[in-house]
Amino acid sequence: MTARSFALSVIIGASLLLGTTLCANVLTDPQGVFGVEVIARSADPNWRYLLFKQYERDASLIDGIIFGSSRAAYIDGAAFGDRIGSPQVLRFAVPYGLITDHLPLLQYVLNDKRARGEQLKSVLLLLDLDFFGKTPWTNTNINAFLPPAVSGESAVRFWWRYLTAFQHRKWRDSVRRRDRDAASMQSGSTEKDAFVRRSDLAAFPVIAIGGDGGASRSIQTAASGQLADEAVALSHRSRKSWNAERPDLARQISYLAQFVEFCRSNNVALTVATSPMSRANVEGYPDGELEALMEKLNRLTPIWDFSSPKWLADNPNYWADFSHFSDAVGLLMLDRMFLGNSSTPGDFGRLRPQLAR
Amino acid sequence: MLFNSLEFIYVFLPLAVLLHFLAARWSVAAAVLTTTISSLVFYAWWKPPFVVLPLISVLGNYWLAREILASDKKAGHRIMLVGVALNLLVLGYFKYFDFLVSIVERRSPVVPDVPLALSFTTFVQVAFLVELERDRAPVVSRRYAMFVTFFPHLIAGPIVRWTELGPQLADKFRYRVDWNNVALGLTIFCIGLAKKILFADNLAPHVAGVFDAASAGMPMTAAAAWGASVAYSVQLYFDFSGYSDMAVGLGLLFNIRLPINFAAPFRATSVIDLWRRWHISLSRFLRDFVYVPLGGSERGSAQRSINLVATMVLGGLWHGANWTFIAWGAFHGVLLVANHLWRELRVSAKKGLVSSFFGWLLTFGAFVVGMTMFRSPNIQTAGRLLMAMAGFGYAQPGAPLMVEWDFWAIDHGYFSEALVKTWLGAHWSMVGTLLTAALLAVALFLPDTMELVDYREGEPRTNWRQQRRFLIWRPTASWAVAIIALFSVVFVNLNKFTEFLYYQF
Repeated sequence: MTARSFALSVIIGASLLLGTTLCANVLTDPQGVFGVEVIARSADPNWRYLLFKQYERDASLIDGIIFGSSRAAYIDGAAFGDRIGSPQVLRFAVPYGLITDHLPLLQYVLNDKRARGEQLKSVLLLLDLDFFGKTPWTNTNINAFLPPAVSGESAVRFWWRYLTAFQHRKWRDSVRRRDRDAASMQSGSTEKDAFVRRSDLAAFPVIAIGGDGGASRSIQTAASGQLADEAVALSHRSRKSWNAERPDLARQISYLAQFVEFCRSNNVALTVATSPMSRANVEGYPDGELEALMEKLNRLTPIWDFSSPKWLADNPNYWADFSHFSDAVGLLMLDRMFLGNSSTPGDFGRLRPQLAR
Repeated sequence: MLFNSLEFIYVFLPLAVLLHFLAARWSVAAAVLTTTISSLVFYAWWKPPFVVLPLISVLGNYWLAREILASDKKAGHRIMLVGVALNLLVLGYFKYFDFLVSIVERRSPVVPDVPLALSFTTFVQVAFLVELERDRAPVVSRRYAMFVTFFPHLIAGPIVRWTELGPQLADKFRYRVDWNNVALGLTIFCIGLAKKILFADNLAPHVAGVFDAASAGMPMTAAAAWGASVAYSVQLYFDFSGYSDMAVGLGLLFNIRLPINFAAPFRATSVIDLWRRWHISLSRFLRDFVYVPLGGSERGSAQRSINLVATMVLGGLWHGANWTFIAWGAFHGVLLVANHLWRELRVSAKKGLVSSFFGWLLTFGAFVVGMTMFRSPNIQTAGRLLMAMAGFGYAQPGAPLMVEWDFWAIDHGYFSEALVKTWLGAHWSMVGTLLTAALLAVALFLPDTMELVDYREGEPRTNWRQQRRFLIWRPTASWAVAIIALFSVVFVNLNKFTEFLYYQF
């Protein structure tokens, strides 16, 4: 072999590798960013991007937004719309969604609305006390890059990343997912959820162990109507010191302050609430840690505190899994916040007035 | 832009090489200009406005060079001194100003935002001015600009000399594609990339756990402190030597032969030998432009000892404005002094297997101790780790395991959680220990990149190469398959980009 043919072989080999990767990413579209579900269905959707596209499509109609993590997928957007008198609400419920995701999108929407001569009326911000301050996925995980229009990143870089990422497991999962969908179509059991398939969202790891947003070691959530098994709960509890690590807290507090200020200066009615937590989840945190965090956040804005009363925290019927509350709880929260009210048990949800800074 | 990013490998690099040789068909000057512009684009990728700094620096030093050449010997010497001082002043302003103020104000220094590559370009240009004043060889502006900004060595070396690169840039035969160099360059680049991605980056999280915990004041066992310090030594070696390999490989694509920067340093059996093998281009610079001008070893062993310590302290300080680097430099200065004294006292120069082994053990052990200071964010953290290494450490009673690496093996009953907690503590792991040992064995027993490909540019003054009958690189089909396979493994791991450790210096 000559040096020339050696060099050309290496160059061709490397080029083929890139070419194959590009094709695989476009055809299987694991994050759903190319909108091509030809030979597969996205196994790892980038909800941040997909929901942004939904906003772009319906921008003129949308006048209310729910910001939250995958837990916000259990708050009915239409019910929220009814209660605030908005016909169209965007539910920006993204896996491991933190204020680092919500603030840039809010900024974008406010600017966009201003340019259109429209007004965003209401925002519901659902905060997860267990995740607040932890290392976010935002613009780090491949399924969590904000669209260039929101993040300010170059579009070339954004698309280059999704074209060139080698993710063979996701390619395989995407193909399998299509096969599974085909099988369930035949058996008539396909989830007929709207744009956001909630089962997709809930499948994400949601218990962060080690303060790294679950990137290093995560516990998959239970699939259906039961709290996490004993082993999961025990493991979670035994790592209290990990769970209490919040390396990004200062930044996220400043982001929340900006979020509140943007809403105020743009006459947007902001409601901030904390998501209820199951008993097993609460016990994973040192005593008083969550309450201390709540007080810090409460200095920035009034907060609807949905710390779970015993009847809720311990009852598996109110939980989709270890981390996610059920639809029924979501409705109770909306009733409490926007209807006053009435049918909701008295010890569930209280508005904590803003504390002095 | 990082060498280990896909945009560099698949977009910037092919374009830069193609444009260079296309321009070379027009003229050598066009090729030099094209590659200089490519290099500035490469630099600007980091922070576009900062590209002004190397531009001004190159123009300023070129002007000084012309003034030196136009002046008589005495005036030229003065201009050279002014030029060196100005270069060091710029470096000092960006890198050491706050450190000096913090000493006066008795506060902790703030980590400065030093422009990328400033430390390296400063040394390159200081060496240039000194050698120019001595040799008085003419300089062409375009070539000088490419010499300083040439992107393979721009960010983190090797620290090149005008006497090495100038003649290469002037050689018009180097402006044609040489497939032998391309084949060799691609091979060296791939091996360097693998060292960084597969070895160094996999050690990084293990190291960070222990050093971060020590920085937070947590107690540490001796095994954890030693383990993390050895792991960091190995990580830094693979990271920086991987970068240096890539630089050499990239240079070859342009028919430029950059000097070797590492020569299997972990095989050294004395500290003197170690510094002939570790960051060779920096050692050469310190020897030629600090140690020798200070008087070297000409005025007896006492003066030599002072010069050695002073040189190494400056070498340490060059890495950053922190007492840890000063302590690291001073420590190596003392080790070199001790090594020289030992050589004078020793009866026989012959080395047996046993004495070589003990020499290696002492050298490597001392190197690891030094690396503890080098990696620590402050002197208190270094002190805490060194105390633990000396046997004064302990595992925090009742503390849960804070790293996840051993969970799988514990869950499967290979060893108990209590064993890990007792001996390794909460932040170091069995997996980290095994990985470190395996990669140390790779560094010790497998041929170094430059041995493998028999590359000898800037060969260090030490007998470091081992005789090998197999594993010698040739442009053969089997080597092509091996390199493609290696690149494929690297490619699938390229989704996360980490900076090279030496970018921070």
